[in-house]
Amino acid sequence: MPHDSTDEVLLRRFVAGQREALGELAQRYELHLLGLARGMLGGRDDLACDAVQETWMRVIRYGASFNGRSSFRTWLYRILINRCRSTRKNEGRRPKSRQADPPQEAGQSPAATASPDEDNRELHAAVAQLAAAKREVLLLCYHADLTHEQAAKILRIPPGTLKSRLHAALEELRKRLATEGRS
Amino acid sequence: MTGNQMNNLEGRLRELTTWHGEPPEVWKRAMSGDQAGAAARGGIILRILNWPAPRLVAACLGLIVIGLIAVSIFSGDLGKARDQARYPTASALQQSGRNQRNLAEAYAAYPSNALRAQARPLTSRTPRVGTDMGGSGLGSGLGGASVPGRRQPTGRPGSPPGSGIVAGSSGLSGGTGAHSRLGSGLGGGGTSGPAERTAPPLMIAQPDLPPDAIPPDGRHVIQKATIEMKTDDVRGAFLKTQHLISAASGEYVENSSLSGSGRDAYASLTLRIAVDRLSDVLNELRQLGEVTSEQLAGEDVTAQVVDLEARLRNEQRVETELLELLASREDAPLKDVLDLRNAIGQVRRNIEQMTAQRQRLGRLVSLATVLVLIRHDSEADDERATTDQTLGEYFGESIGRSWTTGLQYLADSIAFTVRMLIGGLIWWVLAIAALLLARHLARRKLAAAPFR
Repeated sequence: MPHDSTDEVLLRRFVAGQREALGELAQRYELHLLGLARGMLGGRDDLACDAVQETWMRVIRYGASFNGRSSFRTWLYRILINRCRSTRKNEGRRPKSRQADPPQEAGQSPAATASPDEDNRELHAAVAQLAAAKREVLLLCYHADLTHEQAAKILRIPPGTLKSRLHAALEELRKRLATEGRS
Repeated sequence: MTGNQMNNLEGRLRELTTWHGEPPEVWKRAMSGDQAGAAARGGIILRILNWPAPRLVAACLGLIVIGLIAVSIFSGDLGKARDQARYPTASALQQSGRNQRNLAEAYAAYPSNALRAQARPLTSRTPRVGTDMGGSGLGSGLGGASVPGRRQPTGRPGSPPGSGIVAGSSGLSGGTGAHSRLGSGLGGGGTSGPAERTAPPLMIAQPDLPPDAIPPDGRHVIQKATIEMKTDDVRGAFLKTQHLISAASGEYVENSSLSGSGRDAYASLTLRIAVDRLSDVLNELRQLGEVTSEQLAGEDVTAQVVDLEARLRNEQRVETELLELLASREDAPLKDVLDLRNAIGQVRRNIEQMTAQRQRLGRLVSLATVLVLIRHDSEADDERATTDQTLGEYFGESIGRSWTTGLQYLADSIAFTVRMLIGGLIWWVLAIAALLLARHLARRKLAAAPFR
């Protein structure tokens, strides 16, 4: 399979029955999706994996209904964000005792994850305290190589709105980090 | 916050959404699920609904057209409708409303003396006597139950004349209810239901029809006859039939039509014939072609006439008395005189109405109605052609005829399809609109499904 096939072509091939096309799409996007999901789910790798898995399942299930009005990347990220929202909502409903352990880096032991990046944990906590709309804008705008325009399309908001939300989110984040730093 | 701090924050944010370590390849887990396999295949309805609109509409139209053609070819209705359009039977004409004044009036019994002698004991309460002759007057006497609503089988000259009563499914059981409308006194079955369908009159073939339309015993009978025949020369028979009437006797052609040509020629006439000439006219009609069906009916209106005349005489007496009273009370108060005049006016109105009814009955009784249906005798043509031709000619003729018939059926099928398409246009448009709406909704639902 030629490597330079577009995402849409790969999706069509997969829908036509070429399973390996999904592997190629996963090769292109899975790491990015996992990273974004992890960021949106408070650094929880297990939840991130679940969200991404469900995203792929929806791609498999509804790939035939992809109408090409947006790019595959936009469609894929939209699915992931909805999965993350849903996961966050479900996690919020769960009793505290049944919630999973605190975030840890993939492949690392809890002991190892506790120490390495205290700042990251602070940042996670600060980001988690942001409103959902601001948090999503913030994470998408600093995720991989997504442009603001692409992020606006994924979130289905105008670019101007995105920029204002981003600005507000950064301001709020800085304030929170500064407050936490002083305390 | 300085620029370094800013860059540092951005870097940390980027770090926040970056996955470290080996990818866990969750897509493989997603693929391995049962849902994955089913989902990758997708439902056939889903796929069809996802077709482009023109393709979807074209597919639906194609299916409809194929369905209509199949229906038109395989259902007998089209062929039947076609035959009926070309050769309407008496019952079809009757149902079409031509003689809808009264079904019993249309096909009331013919007052054969012999027949009445047999029928009277059975029809003492229903004076109408129905007959349905399934042949050209050479068939058996009271035959088995015929199938109403269908053309009677061609009479077989070889049938033994006057072979008496051949009982149908229930013999000469007296009909009840609706049967009496169509001479069910002789009808088999005896169950309730629409007269013509459920109370088939017994087939009666009479070698000679009674000459006396108004019987000597003073009965008043409205007579109707229907005769269906086939002949080589439909036009000739049509013209000859028109010449059978006698204007001097007050007879006339109520309506007549001649349509088609060749094998499709078809004629129908409604004659009003003086009752005393009915038998002669029917005999002459039988000479014009091969009779395929003959029906005679009569409605005994003697009771009505007697009743009407008695009431009329009574009203006339009342009128006379009132006039005498008015003459003798010239000095009576004005109010009484006016009341008396009103009463006289009412009585005169009644007398006029009854007189008109009596005259109408008299007209109906004096002129019998004869419905004559003539169609082309294609079987005779075929037989002649078969006997005169060589095998090769016959084969060629058959192929040609089959070709023509096939084309006719094709034309009928196309006409039927066009009729359904045009006639049901509004429904097709609505159906297509509903389909497109369903498709639109399905697509919307599908597009939103991954995000749920």
